[in-house]
Amino acid sequence: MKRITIDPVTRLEGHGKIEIFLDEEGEVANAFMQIPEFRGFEKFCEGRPAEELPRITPRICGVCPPAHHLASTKACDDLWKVDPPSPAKKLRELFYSAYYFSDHLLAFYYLQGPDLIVGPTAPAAKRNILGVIEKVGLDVGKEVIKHRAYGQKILQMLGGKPIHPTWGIPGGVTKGFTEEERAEVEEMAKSAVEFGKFTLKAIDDIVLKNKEYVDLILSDPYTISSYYMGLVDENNKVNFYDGDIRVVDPEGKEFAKFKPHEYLNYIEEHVEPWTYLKFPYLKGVGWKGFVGGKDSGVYRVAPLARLNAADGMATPIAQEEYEKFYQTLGGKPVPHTLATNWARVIEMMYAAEHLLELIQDEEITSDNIRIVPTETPTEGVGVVEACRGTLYHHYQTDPDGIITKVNLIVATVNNSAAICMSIKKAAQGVIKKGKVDDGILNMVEMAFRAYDPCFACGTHTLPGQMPLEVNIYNHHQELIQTFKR
Amino acid sequence: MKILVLGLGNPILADDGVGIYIARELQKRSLPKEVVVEESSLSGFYLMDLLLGYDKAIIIDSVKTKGGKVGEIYSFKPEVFDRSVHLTSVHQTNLATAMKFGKQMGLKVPKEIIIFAVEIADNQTFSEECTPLVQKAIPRAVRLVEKELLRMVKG
Repeated sequence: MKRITIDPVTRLEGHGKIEIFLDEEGEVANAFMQIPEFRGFEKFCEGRPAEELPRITPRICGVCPPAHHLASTKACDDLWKVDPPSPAKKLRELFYSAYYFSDHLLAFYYLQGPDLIVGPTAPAAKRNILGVIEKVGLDVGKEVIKHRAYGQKILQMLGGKPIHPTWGIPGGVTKGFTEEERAEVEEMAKSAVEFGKFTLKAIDDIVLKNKEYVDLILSDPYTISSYYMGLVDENNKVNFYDGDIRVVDPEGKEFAKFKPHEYLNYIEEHVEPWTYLKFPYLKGVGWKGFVGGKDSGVYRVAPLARLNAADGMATPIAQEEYEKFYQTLGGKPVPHTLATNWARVIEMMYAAEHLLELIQDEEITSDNIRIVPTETPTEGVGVVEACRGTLYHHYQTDPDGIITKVNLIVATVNNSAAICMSIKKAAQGVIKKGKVDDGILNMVEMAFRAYDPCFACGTHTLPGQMPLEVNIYNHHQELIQTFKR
Repeated sequence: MKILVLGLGNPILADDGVGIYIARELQKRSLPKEVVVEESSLSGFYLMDLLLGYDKAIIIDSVKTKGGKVGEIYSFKPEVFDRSVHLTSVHQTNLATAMKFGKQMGLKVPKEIIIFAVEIADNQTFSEECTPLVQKAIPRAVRLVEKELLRMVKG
């Protein structure tokens, strides 16, 4: 075997690349983001039985498999026009609350934590989870680990495999809870609620009592105007698993509210010559380019957008925090991208409270968990809120249920135009006279990271993290500096 | 002693699944009783969960290196990725960070980890098959892992 120095290629074409163009004065004229596009998923699905897709589509992503699993399962419900029994719906929602709790916790402590807790311009070597633990202490670290494990454990109890579930089927689920399991999950859920409260307090102490940080959240480089989209229940409260899709305009007024199967009446996709990535926009407003405001069809999804698109949270502690969020940040809607991190913790609180409500529901140990479909399948749409935003699965089949067409709009893609705009605005705000260093670049990346984007996670190839390259060009479009992560 | 053999990859993205295919081959062989073979499509902290409780581990994955020859098999330790032990990843973290974190938190992480990686050609096309040169590397990788396992069991 040959001994070599490992130098993983981080420059796959279009692989997590940010391109920043400077003008003659060294100010930012433009900025773009490019990401890889995987080929042929539609073709790959054609000819397979539709009920296999809830097991195949979670492989699209190594991070949000439960979201794909449930969007796909719901699309199958709709294909066979079967309405799952109430206990099955509650189990799915419980499963999904456990996923949200666990994923938001990871995003907050491990991914945004370094910026929030260690500081946005701290040296790169400290700006990581190790630095976070140094600052908050080992005991908090242990709580983080424990509660993340709870989420994983619940997913595993129901889903079979912890990450790639095999549980949802058209018309219901394959497994419910025994009373013994229910009692175990109830204890975990109680603990999760307490940990949610602890995390809200941490936000309060570390972020909100730090004027410098609040000013950063409210500052212009991290603010863009857009429409906001999210699933809501019958009371217009945030819902992750089911409901109508609601869109509000940049002033917070309801622009549209529609059913999953109507999505193509509301969303269209714009194509740019420089990337395979599509840019969805609101059909009723139109594509006006990478600009904000009421006349531009650019919309956002994910935690901040979900809070903006709803009238509140369906559980008491999360609702209280929701009100505080808007009081603190200047009313609704909040256009400040970095506020996403706080919004995420409010959602984590809701997930914990809802998990507890559901596990205490008397139907949750029922064995009435599936209705066997009898209709002939033709077409189905399933929509859920993935942690990173609204996720659409749309299938067409022949009468035997064999897939003939698949269309997916994955969560982050909804945000692709807004992410480009946020990067440009942040770059314009922090890069002056052509001066770029690691700290400045991190300030640009914070705008990107707030969306917790999920483009390249379909591949696993080493080094096991999404490579990011930032290229800086002068006004002759000559490459003058490259940063690699 | 407990040893984990972990095949990593995405089995619906062509060569990306090679680690999983190698693990599946290993599962068919007769291996020392200390050995558990698993497969996973996860990374970062999720990987750490899988590794906890084992004394030693072998991880099998795919890699793309500059000027690398497709089908070549490398072996190295996780520390190779040490230089990226900071969380600039937009989404997850890498194995080295996760393991350092585990140690910092006093969790039982394996004392020894060896990574085998196969140089691949295509991980951007949805397919359940490897490209030919990568396919040919699978039996070679199986033999290398078996040899390493024998050493680990003795050591």
